[in-house]
Amino acid sequence: MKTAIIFLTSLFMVTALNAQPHKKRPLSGRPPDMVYVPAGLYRPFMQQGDKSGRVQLQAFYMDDHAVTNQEFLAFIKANPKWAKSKIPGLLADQNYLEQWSGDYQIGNPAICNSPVTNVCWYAAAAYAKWRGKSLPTLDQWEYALSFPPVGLPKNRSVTRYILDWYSNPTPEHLAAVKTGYQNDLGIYDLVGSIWEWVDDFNSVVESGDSRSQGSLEKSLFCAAGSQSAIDKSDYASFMRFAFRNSLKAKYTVRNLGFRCVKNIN
Amino acid sequence: MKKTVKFAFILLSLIGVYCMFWGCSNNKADKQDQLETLQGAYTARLGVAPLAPPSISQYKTPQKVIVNLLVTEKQMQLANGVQYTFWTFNGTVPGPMIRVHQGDEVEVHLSNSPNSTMPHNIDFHAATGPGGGAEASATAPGHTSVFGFRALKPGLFIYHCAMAPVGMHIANGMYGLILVEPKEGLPKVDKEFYMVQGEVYTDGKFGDTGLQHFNLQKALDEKPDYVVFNGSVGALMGDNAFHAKVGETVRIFFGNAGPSLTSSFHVIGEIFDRVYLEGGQMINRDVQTTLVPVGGAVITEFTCKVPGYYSIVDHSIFRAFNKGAIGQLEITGAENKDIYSGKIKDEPYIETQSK
Ligand SMILES: [Cu+2]
Repeated sequence: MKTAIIFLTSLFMVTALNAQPHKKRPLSGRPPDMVYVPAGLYRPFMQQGDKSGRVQLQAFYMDDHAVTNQEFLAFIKANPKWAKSKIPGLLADQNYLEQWSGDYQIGNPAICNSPVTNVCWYAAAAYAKWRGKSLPTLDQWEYALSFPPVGLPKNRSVTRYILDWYSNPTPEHLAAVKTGYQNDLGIYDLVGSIWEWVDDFNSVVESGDSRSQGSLEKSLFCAAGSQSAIDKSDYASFMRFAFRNSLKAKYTVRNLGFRCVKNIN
Repeated sequence: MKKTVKFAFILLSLIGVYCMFWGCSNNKADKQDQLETLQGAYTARLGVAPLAPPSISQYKTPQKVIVNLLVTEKQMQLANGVQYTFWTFNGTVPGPMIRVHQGDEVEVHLSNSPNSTMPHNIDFHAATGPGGGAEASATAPGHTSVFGFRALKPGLFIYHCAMAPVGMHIANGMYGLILVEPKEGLPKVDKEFYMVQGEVYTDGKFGDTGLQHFNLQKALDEKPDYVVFNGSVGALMGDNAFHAKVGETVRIFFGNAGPSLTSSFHVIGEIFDRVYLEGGQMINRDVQTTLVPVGGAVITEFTCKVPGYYSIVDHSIFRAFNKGAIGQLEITGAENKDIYSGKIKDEPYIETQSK
């Protein structure tokens, strides 16, 4: 209950902050299947930003759904060097697109409209670039999640929703996009179906070297404490950060996909 | 009076000299920690609870011991009619028991099933190094991590997943025991059993049927509805009880994974002959109940003398009878009326007049 209160309080704060004057939602120029995310302040799970712990974010557009197998297939057809048999081992591990039957075939109509998973960070970033977009930063992604959910029972916090998601076995086929969790901006499935790549998922991308010894990593392991986390009972956030931290850019995971954002100048 | 002072002074200096020597010899012992060369390698035979793995009989020199662990997340029975999504090492709660010798190098191959939702890792309390291996073994779904550590100290140790949020990974079943035998091995006994206590925090109350979800608030409050031995209510009861015969010696490897509650480990109707306190080298004798901290373990030994059913409990007794922390040992064999008579008489009680 306490968690729920803390969580709702923080939601309220974000909402209140968002209520501050910001650029009105532009009526034109919104790319198809993307949602306008207004500028605002958000409080990251891990301590950073100014003294108040808040980070100012500019407005941006975010895909309203995770990239699907079908959509990713179009990318592969246009950019064959990212096909299963062609991608170098340096860029993707051997489970890359393992759910597909061939280089240019999904082979399973049931998953065409489901999120594409088993994609490495490199391929996800290449897809985003091909679409004239980019991968969301960690802050952008978490900020988008901080908007209130639609249609959750009153006594069910987002944290709660996420914890319940984890305690159900992974389904054989992932559900089609836009059938699950929705927030009040109109963004679907940020949680409840898959994990999603973010641009700066950990520092490994920059260094290309072995695991960093940064404070984030330390805060995620036993005995190192979790002093930098703002809400230590926000287990759902801990899990997302732990998950991201276990990744390397070439990794592919059965329940890890992505969506794109487009920054507004 | 002066004499006494002088005597005390001499005594003190003697103690001082003794301490110096003791310190010296202790330093020597530390230097002898220099690692022996490993001779050969083998893959560990793991013990699936409630059975402990056998000791390797022909042990001579330290070896490399390969331990293969696979993390799976799966629904299992928590109690009659109650399901729970456990996170497991090798598909069981507790995970397998590992048995090595002091000086061995343990090479851990930790795989995380592609179907896992979570990254996982492993922290060996038997390891000396950052996080007990937690950092080195962080493993995304569908990957395998390899790392090694030298088993420097003998004893019985917990291992557990330490991925954030740690408490949830432990409560969901990610723990087990590793025994580091002294070079000469543990004395032989007739029966060895393996059990670990753990708490499960569910939305529903004890016994509420169906699939139960992890309840974060109960976990933060440290108020579990289930405190169980070996992963489920009844895992050591009835057909699953431990068995031994009159005259046999029994050794129980007991761990407490927590994540919150200290255990008062007790076998109703037995007195432990020997207790390796906290799983270490100090042995206490003739013990009724031994305290096992969270993230700790104990080795207890006793001799079976009288046949019957014996309950194994956390003597915080509501946990035993209302939350699941109870198991059974069935001892079969000949009665010994000299040790235990059983009921000899039952007759009406007549109040003597005190008017
Ligand atoms: Cu784990």
